[in-house]
Amino acid sequence: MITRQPLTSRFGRVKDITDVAAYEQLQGYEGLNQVLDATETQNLNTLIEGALWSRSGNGTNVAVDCQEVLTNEAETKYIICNADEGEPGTFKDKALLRSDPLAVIEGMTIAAYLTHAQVGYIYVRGEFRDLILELMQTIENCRAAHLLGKSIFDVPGFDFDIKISESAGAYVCQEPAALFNAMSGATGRPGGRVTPTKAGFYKQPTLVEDAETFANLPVLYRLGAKAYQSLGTSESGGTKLVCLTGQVKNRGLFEVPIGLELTTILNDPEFGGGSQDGTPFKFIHLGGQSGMILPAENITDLIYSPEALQAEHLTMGTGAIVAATEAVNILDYLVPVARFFMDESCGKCPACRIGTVRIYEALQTLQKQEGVPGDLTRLAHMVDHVASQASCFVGQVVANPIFSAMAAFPEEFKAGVDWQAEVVKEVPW
Amino acid sequence: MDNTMTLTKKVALIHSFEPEPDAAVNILLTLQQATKDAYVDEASARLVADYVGLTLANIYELVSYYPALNEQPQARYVLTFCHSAPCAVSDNGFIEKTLHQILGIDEGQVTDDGLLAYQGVACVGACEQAPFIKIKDHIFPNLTTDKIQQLVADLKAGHFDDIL
Amino acid sequence: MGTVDHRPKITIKPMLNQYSNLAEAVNLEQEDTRDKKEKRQDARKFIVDLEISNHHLNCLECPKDGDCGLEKEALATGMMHTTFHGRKIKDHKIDCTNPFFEYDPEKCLLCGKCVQVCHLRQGRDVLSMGRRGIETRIIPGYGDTWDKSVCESCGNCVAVCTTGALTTKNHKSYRKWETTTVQTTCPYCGTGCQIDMVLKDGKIVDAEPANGPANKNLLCVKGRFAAFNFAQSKDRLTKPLIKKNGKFEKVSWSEAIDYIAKRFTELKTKYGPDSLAGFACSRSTNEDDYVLQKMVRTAFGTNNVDNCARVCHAPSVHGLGMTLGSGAMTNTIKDITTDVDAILLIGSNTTEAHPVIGVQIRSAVQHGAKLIVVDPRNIDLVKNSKLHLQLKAGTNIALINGMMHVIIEEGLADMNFIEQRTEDFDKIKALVADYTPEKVAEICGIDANLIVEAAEMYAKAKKAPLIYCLGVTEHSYGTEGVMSMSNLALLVGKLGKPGCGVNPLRGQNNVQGACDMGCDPFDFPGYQKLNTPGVVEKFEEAWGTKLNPNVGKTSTQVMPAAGEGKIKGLFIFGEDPIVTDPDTNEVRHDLENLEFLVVHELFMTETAEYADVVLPGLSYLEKDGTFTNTERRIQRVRAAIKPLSGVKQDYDVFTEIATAMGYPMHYNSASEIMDEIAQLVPTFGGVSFDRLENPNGLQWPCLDVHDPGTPIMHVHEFTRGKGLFMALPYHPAKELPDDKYPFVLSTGRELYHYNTRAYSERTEGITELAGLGRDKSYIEMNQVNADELGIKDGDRVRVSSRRGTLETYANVGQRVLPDAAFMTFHFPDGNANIVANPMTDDIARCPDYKVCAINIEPV
Ligand code: SF4
Ligand code: SF4
Ligand code: SF4
Ligand code: SF4
Ligand code: FES
Repeated sequence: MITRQPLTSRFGRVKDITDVAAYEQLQGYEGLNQVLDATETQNLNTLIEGALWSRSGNGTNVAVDCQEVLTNEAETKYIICNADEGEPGTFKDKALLRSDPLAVIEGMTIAAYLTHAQVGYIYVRGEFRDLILELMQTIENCRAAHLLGKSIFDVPGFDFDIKISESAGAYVCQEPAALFNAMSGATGRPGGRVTPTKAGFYKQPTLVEDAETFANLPVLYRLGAKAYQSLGTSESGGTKLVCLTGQVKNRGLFEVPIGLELTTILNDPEFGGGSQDGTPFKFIHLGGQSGMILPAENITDLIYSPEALQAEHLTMGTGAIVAATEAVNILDYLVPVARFFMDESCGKCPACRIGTVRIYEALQTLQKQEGVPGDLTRLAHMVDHVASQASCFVGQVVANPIFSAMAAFPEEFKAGVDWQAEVVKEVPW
Repeated sequence: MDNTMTLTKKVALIHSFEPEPDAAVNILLTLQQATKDAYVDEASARLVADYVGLTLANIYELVSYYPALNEQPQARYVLTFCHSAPCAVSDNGFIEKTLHQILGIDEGQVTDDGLLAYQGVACVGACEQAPFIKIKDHIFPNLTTDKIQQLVADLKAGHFDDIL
Repeated sequence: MGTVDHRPKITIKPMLNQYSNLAEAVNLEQEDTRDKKEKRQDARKFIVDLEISNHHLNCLECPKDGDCGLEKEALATGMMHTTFHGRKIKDHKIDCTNPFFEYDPEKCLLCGKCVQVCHLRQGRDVLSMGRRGIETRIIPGYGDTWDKSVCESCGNCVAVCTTGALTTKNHKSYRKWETTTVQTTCPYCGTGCQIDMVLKDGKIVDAEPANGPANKNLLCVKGRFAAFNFAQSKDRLTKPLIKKNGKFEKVSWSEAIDYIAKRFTELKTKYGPDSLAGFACSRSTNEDDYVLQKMVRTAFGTNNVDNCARVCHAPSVHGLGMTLGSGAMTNTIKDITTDVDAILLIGSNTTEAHPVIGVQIRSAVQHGAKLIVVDPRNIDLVKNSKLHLQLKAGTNIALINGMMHVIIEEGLADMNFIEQRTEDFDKIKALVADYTPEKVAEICGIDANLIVEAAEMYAKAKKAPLIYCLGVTEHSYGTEGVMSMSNLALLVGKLGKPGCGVNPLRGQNNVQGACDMGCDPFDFPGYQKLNTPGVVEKFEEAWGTKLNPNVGKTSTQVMPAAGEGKIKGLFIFGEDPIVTDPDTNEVRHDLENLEFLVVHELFMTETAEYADVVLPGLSYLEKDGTFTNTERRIQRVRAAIKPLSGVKQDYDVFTEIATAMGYPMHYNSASEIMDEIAQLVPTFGGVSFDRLENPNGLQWPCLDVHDPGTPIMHVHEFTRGKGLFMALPYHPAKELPDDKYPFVLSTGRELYHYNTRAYSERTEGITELAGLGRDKSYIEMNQVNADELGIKDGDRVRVSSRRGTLETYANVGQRVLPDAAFMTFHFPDGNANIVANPMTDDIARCPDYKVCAINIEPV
């Protein structure tokens, strides 16, 4: 009988999460041992059949990336676990690192074995001092047990070690180009596009994933492709960590099998448990601040799987779901969303640097019901221009929440405008 | 924590890292955390710059760019609250107002005794505990106006001196 | 690890977020009917709207009006005003703390070009793009204002800014469309930077970097900001002055010239031609200096003509002339700073004395060149260096001998090269056998390992230039020091090749030219030696007069000779020996002892006060001509402004004096003079003003009109045939510290001022930046000594030597070694030359400015 919640199965069950022996007692490193026993082809096939999609919201197939890093020859290759988790409403990677860091490390080690990478980094918020100290301890323990270092697991030539790179907070570092800059000591601003698997960190082939994706690897190999995949759907294997926030009764982290109905996640007592005050939900914000805002009536049949969401132009994103009831006006919700993008603009592109401020201001005007005719068109065009002129995802994704909200709740936007006003704003662009 | 950082201690701390540019942020964060006023002063920045092989301007760019690094001396306790949307839905909007009322200062200002300040930040991953206040690594969850009042009183009375 | 056999194929199915509801969103109010092209055009408008919504929009007041990238884009898109009313950047205060330029954050587009220029080209790294989002701005230093940063005020960041964000203060007075530009060559150091002088209504209002071969669009603070004010300053001399009854009186040109001719002729008749002498000006043009030396040799009838290279690089001319056959830089600036593996820098504080070469060295280091600094001071480039050999002043020769010892010992010498292209290798081999690293380490006061490392680094590098400056020449064994340089380069075969060579950095803008033009008691123009048979005859024929066949006196011999009454009449063209020459008291006495002194100058200088006649001169901005920079590159000087009313072309003054003395001379233009030079000087054979219109100028040797010039010398053969090794033992300096005078003083330059400051002090901002932030002299000393003597930084101290005493301010730190000291000679309130050492080397007769025993005591 396999657990339906393999990622969180060890949560709270070990006294010392840095203790390698305790981890091993709870099936730790079984996945890696499977990998060591199989051929490269077998391992890659397992990964393909397991259908593991990246959990960080970037929508890539982990098998593809691994294969690319493997085939791109280089002296040093890197495995980077981006656990910075800047997306508001998301705390799954922190939870993993706090409760089961060895799973992430095992996953990274598997990835290193698959791709012939030698150096790993965990990129994590420097503010979380206690978490970093525990992580350092865990890595030390692994080194002592020859699970990190030179010729680990008694496999000659299998060299892999992990360092910690501390982040000082920048959402834009989800963008690999910015991440690599930040990790190398430059300022975390993107300097153009990069293809990590080809020319990533220090221009070397690099696999970048979030902690959750790495934590999935040991599970996949331990269970085998079939069993792993069967946890989810035929196209996407495994489970997903979901962060429920807002006005759900049970806020927090849940591990759900991929393919569940979205309403189940929200309302089932095992998960969200419905709204706090029992009233129906008005909307959800799916996948993080960069995701779409959906009116509750539109999600009744939605399946929570990458492919089903994709069909609706949606994604799971980071697994964040914010739910709100009728009590929340959509503009009240959007103003802090816009503020987030404004605060996180790195300042490189004019469209994003100034445009996000103007969007924030426009939403505030509507929120205060001080809009005049022309303002809604201006807002729409503004968002469109910012999204198309910005050079990285930060500026580009602004459109997702705003456009989806405008489409879903046009009346609330219209209510922000004084249609009798004499001033009419021109829309020159 | 020992809050007095002598030059020798600073240098020792810096030298416990690799002398590479990629260690800069790690060093700066560690240094800041170990310093009484929790900020990176120019002298320390220069030490770090020389050690890792970056320029002072590089270091300044890092310090001024990242919210977790401070250019200015900080209050003894900086009460941070989340101003991201998920927490807004969880009604944490009252925290800022309440703190403003109790402390009589604006966001980013410091009380006259240098003890307290409050600051809105983006999501810190404690959304499930909103409304909350975070001080250093410590979260005070599910707050009400009364609880905030109590918290401020406790801080002033020094009840948290040992954990924060 | 697993074997790679068959790798499975996977099909990629992207799952990207995409926003797709614009249509719906827009339809809230009205339908969107734009096509793709219109949308793109709109996007451009939108960006302009955003930018100007966060802009300090005052085009009328803005220096950039009419030349602004943003204005242009606004015009192109038709977005002339913003449709937003939102907030702007909070920290919007204009930073005007730099004396020469300002930064307005509200006009900054954050294009980052200034940051890049400062980082990659200037190599100074002052700027960062600080903060984030709308608060992003350019910030100097550690979140400071410009004045508190390490900015060198080169203005190169300003030059690349497309908007009014970074503008010069000069720029406030003009707009682009009212101006024209004239390209000319910088009048300060020997780098030879090209400058565009910006003119409005016939007046120079600003200067901008031009794309010259030596400066590639860069300038230093002096070229950028201090190269034109002095020419337009109110205290220029405008009329000839004759001293009557101890007071200067304004007289007409004809009176002055007649008087000068009469007095010189009298002296010549009474005491013989060799009682006269003339000093040329290494700041003036080749053409002027050529005519001056011609006047001295023909009309005066003596070879007592010299220029200030005597007190700086004469040892290079003599030393390298002897060993290689030519005393100039062997390679080009670009060549020795691009794509080299190592740089051996000896006795050159490049970033201050030759700033634009200095920044190119910094950028060579950024591109991987290993820099070895040999300097008793902790100069700025030490920061960029791999090795710093902080030797005691005056021990260069020992060090080089030691390095050669290591190179021979380790088999790193280039034996092929030595065999085929050099002579006297055995002698040098025998000599340096004694100079073990340990022994040398003892003499130089450095670690023996450093000597070995430096020798290996230099010898093993594929391309490694040796660059040196006055730290090698200005010694009592300076010429020997120079020959040591060529010894070392010959030993490893690093001559006649790209990225190598022996490269003396010449000090003044045209000191190379003054030497080339024969302002030298030993040589006619083009280093044609007086004592080479046939040379005197050649010039006699060309100039149509009998010439004096005897070698003349150097300037350092002329002065004492004047003191002894052997020199009676002296013509000084643009020099100020009281300020520049060592042992000021002695110099004053020498000048007083002259029977007749003429000084030809821009300003009333200390030396001019001693003259019987003072003639007003023209600045480089008022004349056509050429300067030859340190890399032998002849470049045009172009008259940008009209000559000051009543002032003659300098060469006209010389020809008129000569004519009045009975040797008729006349030239219609500078170009005509150059044609004569080309005829008489083989290495200038192909040089003409027409050809010099080429933006790269011409590098001599340029033998005929088809010769493109010579970037790298000695490629197949040395000018003298074979490269000559000179076995030179180390001797201690002629003046050594003792109990009474325990410190070793070296003198030198700093970035902001130039020599006597005649040019630089006439730009206000320079004075603000210079020295200890005040217009005062200072002496650098080590903390250790300061502590012993109870002297604190900024204290007043008394400095004395065997020659004199002065008072100045202490600058205490680690820049100089213990028991060493450093002073500049820029400041009248404490001119180092009062105490400096006039003892010269025996060959080139250059004084030892670098080793002088002094005492320092608190006041
Ligand atoms: S879109 Fe925004 S965050 Fe991204 S690079 Fe441009 S300014 Fe920076
Ligand atoms: S920078 Fe350009 S747009 Fe701005 S005020 Fe100056 S001229 Fe006008
Ligand atoms: S070059 Fe000018 S516009 Fe560009 S970042 Fe620098 S100051 Fe701003
Ligand atoms: S003036 Fe020169 S040194 Fe100063 S900031 Fe600009 S480029 Fe850098
Ligand atoms: S949104 Fe407030 S802590 Fe996450």
